[in-house]
Amino acid sequence: MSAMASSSARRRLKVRVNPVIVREMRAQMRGARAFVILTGYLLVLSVLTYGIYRFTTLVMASSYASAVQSATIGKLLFVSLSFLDLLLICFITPALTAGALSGEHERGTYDLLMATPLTPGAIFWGKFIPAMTYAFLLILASIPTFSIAYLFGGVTVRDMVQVVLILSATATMLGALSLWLSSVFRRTSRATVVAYILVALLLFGTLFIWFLLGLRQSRQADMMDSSMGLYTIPPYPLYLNPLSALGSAILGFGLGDYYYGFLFSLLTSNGPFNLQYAAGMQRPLWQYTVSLYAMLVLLFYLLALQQLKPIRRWHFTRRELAQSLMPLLAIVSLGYVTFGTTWASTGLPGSGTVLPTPGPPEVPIEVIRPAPPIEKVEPALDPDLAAPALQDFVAHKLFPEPAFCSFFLLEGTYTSTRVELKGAIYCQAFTVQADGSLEPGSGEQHTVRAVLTPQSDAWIVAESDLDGVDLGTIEVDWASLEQDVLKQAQSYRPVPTATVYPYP
Amino acid sequence: MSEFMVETHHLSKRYKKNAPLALDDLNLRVPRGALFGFIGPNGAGKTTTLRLLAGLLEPSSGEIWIDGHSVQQDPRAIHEYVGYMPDSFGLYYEMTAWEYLDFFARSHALSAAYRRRVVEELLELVGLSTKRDEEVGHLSRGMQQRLCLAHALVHDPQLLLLDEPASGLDPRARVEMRELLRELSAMGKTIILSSHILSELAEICNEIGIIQKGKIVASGPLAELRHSARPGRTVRLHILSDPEQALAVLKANPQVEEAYPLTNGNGKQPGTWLEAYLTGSLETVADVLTFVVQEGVRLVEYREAGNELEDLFLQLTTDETYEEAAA
Repeated sequence: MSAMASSSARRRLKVRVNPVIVREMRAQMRGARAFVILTGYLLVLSVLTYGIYRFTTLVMASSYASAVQSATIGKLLFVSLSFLDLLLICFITPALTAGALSGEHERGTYDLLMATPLTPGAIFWGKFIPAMTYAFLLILASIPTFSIAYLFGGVTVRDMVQVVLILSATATMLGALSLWLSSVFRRTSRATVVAYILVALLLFGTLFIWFLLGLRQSRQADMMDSSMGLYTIPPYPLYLNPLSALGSAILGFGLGDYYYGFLFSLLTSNGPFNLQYAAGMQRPLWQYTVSLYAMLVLLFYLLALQQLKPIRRWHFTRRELAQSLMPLLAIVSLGYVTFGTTWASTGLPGSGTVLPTPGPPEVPIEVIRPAPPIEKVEPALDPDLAAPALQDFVAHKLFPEPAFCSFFLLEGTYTSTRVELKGAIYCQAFTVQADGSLEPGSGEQHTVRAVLTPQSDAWIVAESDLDGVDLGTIEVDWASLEQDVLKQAQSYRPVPTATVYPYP
Repeated sequence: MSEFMVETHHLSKRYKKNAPLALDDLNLRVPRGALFGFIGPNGAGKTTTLRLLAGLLEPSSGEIWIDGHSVQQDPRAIHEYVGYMPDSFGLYYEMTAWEYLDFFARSHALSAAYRRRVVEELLELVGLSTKRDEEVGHLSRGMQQRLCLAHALVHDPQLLLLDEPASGLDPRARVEMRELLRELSAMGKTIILSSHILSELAEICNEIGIIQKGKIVASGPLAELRHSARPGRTVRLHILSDPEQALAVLKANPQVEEAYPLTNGNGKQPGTWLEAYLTGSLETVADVLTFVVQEGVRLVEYREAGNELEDLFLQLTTDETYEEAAA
């Protein structure tokens, strides 16, 4: 055994580079493939950026009478580029790892690899890290194309960081998924096809399920108001959707509404790709997504480990159990941190609470006044997230319903530190008389302007052309309007409904 | 340290639930330092056995010990003792020869300095020093095969499992491969190689196992097997004198059991070839030859017949078939 003893002496090594990483890196950057993909990717991104820029300026110039603001173009470009980049990443990443292990089968090198003392973990990370390095290279290389959005302004570094984070999380999850598939199937073609099917399910299947949930819900509640339906659809399927995650992070300013009519209705406020608030959602949607993706990566890792054992799959030695313990613990704790508080409020089995089913209301007036969801928004929320809600909040506060008047928001600018609203209140059916009574039909119009800034835990009105008006207790000329309208309304049969137009 | 490098106990392998047994109750013992040839027709279970031994396949039942270590207990530890060269060997075509060996040396956790040395030494050993920086995909088939053999040697394993190492090689490459195996055997390594070409194995192996339909039909040292199959010797005599007379002389000797002229003698050469089957040892051969010459037969060449192993193989495997047919 002297030969063995000496051979173990040769093996004493302090820091060891994973040999699979060395091999993959050598193979990856050799030949034209890496450069062709990178060049093609940047080319597609650049050409489409230019296209979006032209399209945006054209459409905005024609559809809005007011001069197009530079910051708006900047934001639109940024949002379009982010979505485009995400789609490209969804398309490219599976191809990077789907052949990593099945390719070894196809080349006949799998047995050679298995006959080495390399651990399944070393093989997994050896394949995964170089592929992800390349994916991150693509993401980093795309950042300069975003610089055009910065030229126009309206985009913060924080937005950019969020986009890169969501892109990286998506790439990592898809990479791990495809690598696991590659360990399951012996043919790259099969692994690739299955990977793309799963990507399609992730992008569109989740959306479909979400719509189905919405349908079921609206049927159950017999709710005709589709916009109200959106707020109460359970958002869980969308947690998995990278597009929803990205939308929730960067579309928060109601920016999606600019797309309305010419791109997706999906991107409108609180649509599936711009879900800002929904039942049971305690934090921005993308945070759920990133956390879920991290859990999935670990899960795919653990699954692939079993596939990478040549024999004794699903038999665990004590050492393997110990090694799997960390990822498992990470999955459980991530799940608890992310969903622990949310779960209790869902009313789903095991949550311990049951959501009250909407029963017949006691006061009929309350029935036809569906509580605006914005009333639920706490001022302590992230201002970015709260901005569109705030808009509704202000609109409703300025003119509480039910009434026979309409509020038109003429202009609204929203940043995380300042909200400025200009609107017109137009009373079609009534005017308020000096003695406080309502008289029908004057058609009087008032313009309102208010600037809000966040204080430590609430939004306050910094300026307003309604002097001394506190948005919490609005007192306009028509101070007793609500009371009067309620009284009036109760005397009518049937009860009239209010028309509130928060958006142009 | 056990006497046997490889031991299997009642090893069976069934690939799918209702498929026939690929390997049926295999009991194999390969002594340390042996050059063990594994012969069998295609699909007999040679590759299955080798993959099981390499810890790449899970046996349905039975146990394997390599150098006294159970493969089932810790297959990864076994990989330290075993160098495996698969039948349909694959190569990383986009790597250069030295990178290829370097990768496997790294995989076996060899230190940097030692790794560099061992890669150069192995390239030297398999005669690829000049192709060091050539891409693997550009090497000839024979070179690739030698490179693949070299990869199995990076960690200096005690046991080499070679699945059809000579398949697809031209005669020259075949001879080179044979020389290489002899060299490795001389270095004290235990080598198990499989082939379906008998002459190839007969030339270099000192132990053989004959496998058919997942069962070992016969195994042991070559000489023993030969003896057990036909406990005598077949000799061929090239004579210039009258074949009839020579046959008569041969048949007159009591130690000659059979004698007959070879029909397929070389027509270009003068004279005839006779074949005789003798009982007994090499001494007997000497006696018979002396006798023949003394009786006036003009003998120019004597040779032991080469195809015995083939006969043996055919005999053993057909017996099996007959038994099966009878049953």
